[in-house]
Amino acid sequence: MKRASTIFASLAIGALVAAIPATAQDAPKRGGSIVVSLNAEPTHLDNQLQTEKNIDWASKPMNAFLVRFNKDAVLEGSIAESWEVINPQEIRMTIRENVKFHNGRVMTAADAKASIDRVLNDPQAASVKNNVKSIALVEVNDDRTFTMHLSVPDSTVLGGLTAVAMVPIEVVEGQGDLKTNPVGAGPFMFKEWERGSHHTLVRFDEYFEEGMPLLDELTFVYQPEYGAEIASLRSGDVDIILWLNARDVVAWRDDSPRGIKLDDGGRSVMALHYFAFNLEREPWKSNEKLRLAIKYAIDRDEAAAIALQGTGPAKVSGIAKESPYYDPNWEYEHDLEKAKQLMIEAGYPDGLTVDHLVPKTPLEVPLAQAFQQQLARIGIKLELRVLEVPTFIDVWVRQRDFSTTTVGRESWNDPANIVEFFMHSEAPGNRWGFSNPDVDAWLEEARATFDFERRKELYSMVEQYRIDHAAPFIVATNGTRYAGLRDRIEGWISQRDIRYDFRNVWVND
Amino acid sequence: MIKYIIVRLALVVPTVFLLSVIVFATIHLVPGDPITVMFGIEGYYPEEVERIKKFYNLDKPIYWQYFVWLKQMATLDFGNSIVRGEPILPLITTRFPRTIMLTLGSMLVAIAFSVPLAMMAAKRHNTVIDVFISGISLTFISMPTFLLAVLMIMVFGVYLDILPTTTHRFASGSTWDVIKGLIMPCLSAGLVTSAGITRMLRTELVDNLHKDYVLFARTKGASDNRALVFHNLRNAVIATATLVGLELGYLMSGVIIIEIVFSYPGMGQLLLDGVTRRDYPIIQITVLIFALTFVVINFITDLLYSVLDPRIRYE
Repeated sequence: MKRASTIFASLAIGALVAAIPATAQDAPKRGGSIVVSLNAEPTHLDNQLQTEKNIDWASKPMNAFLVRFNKDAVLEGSIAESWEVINPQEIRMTIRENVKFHNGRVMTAADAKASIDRVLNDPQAASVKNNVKSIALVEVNDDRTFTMHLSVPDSTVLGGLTAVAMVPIEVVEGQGDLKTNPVGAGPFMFKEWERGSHHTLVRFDEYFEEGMPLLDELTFVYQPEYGAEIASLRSGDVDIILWLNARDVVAWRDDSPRGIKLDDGGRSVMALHYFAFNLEREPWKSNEKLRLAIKYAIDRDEAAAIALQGTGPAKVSGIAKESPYYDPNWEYEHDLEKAKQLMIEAGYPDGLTVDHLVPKTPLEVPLAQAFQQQLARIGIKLELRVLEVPTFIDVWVRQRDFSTTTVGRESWNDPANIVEFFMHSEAPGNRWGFSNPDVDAWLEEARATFDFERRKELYSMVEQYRIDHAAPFIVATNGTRYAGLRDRIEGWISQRDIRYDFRNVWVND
Repeated sequence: MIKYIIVRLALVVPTVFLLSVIVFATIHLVPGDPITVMFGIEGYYPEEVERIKKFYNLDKPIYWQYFVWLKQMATLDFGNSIVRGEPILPLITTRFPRTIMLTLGSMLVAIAFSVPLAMMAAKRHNTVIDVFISGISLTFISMPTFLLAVLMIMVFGVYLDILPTTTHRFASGSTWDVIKGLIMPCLSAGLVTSAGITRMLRTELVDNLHKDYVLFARTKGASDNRALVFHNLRNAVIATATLVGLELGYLMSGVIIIEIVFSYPGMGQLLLDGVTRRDYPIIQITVLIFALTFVVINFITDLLYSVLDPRIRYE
């Protein structure tokens, strides 16, 4: 009798559990821990001094920023409660109340000033500084308000602030930096860093956004071998791989391994992979028709299909179709006959041999090979010079010893970060010797104006110039970042920029 | 004997000096420097790059940099990593023991597999068992270590799911976590190493089977097994010790690939990271330590001869 009642009770509980609505079962839950794989150990964890994406990915969960881009690439306040553009060279910002650093101290406007000043003055922060270099002075008005005085009118500076982590300056001064013992105001706190193996973060209970984060613990493990990353995801030792190879994305789209799911693909609205010319060298410097022949010979759809196996779009500009700055007038058709005609007009009816510098990466190499096949159709023999990445950087960036190259870039959400970065005659990304006074003037005005329509018009003009003259580069595509997740991971959002957000992630065990 | 040891030890100094010159020159000749690599991907800021290069004395002539480094080494000052901006010594002291543990663990696996297999093959030489063991050995000799490592991960880590595919619990976990983390890396490196030792030892054992002392032991009434273990094996080990010593040296460098595949936090990963980022001080120290260890292992192997074979005396 007792056994029968036990069975009855079990069935009743089972029925009750089954009756719980799915939505209730799937409501975000607090608690749990996850393991995320990084393909290299970050060299340090000081977000302000980041020089590579790995440092940002590894340290961002510990940091909070004045503003941030949401999943639709729209700028929104984070620590900043509000801001006001007083004039094109003055922006006043008010921070939230009760934002606390991990050391328990409440953040004030003086911390915002100290954090921005550190980025502007520490030579190691050069990468981040580039986003906010127009800030000449930060003036503290009161505990929660400060004013940024700009050296020139700069509408991109607000977007640039998404890269400046807020830090307690007394800790920076005490420790020298935050490289090995980071302290921020982000949703997670530093717990431990076992060199060569992993670092672990734990939830910061006094994080200023109520109810966030949901996870108790977040561990980043370092796995330089991609095959090992995949094996770890499949075995469940790792919960998230941030960037899957195109081959696996294609294979897993319809039939992912048991217990694994793909995210819907995070695509930056400002990203590109391109075929670039060294305009300091002939024949590219003066032979526009030759450049245009290459432009029309490159079949962007085919290149994307070969290099990305259909996981990324064909593109005409680094500004993606999803961006409000995109202009459909930029589009043009692949035209092999026109390309052949242009080769004759350019003075190369029998074709030519071209040196092509390529970094040895899973994306650039197949893309360069696709270009090689396509340009062979108009008689151009592309001789690929594939170099491992550090050597490539030295040859390409410092020595500028290249004729043409295939490279890519993915950046923040403002067009200035790719269009101006590559095309202004004095921009750090202008490695092509490209210089045009009109383009410089348009870019400078675009940076100076806060009027969206005018900015859009100006960037459109610059992009149209680049496309019409095939200088300094021809955009073909860009990769889409697909993350691989264990089924138990919920709340993951594919970002529109190159960052990851773990505030809403939770575990559905 | 003492004179021999002193001479051998004295020879280590010019060997290491020569090696340091070669390593220093090679890494500085390869294009790319740590600062350019650090900033190059996301934007090259010539002024900032030059400032930082100056800070780390990378703007000075190579010979000047070399002598400064040599001076540091002489005082056992390992300096700072350029890219990480932190002292190198703690990085080495935490990782070197792990690599030693992995190397010795792999050698233990190699010996544990090779000795019984070689003895079995020798005892049953020219039988199916002998051919089978030779076939297995040949397979492992021909197999790249990383391939075996990946196969192991797929079988034991993914399909059977009995061993961890990452070693992140290795560093701060329990002893059992450490052992579990070591099983697959040690098996991968050890099995490949065992193949060569098995073949060598088997040949020695078979050669010795008809030697006088083995036949004498047999006529004294010693069983097959006793003659094999206590008379034949002891002598066969002397020749095999050379190979074990050499293999141990190769294992030290061979585990670099194992460390990468298994994400094992040892010296190999540190070296790879240093090379990728052109972190000169890290590369110099790790390569030197690998080389020194190799020299020391060879030295110990030489000394072991006289222990294993009392007839050998060094003059």
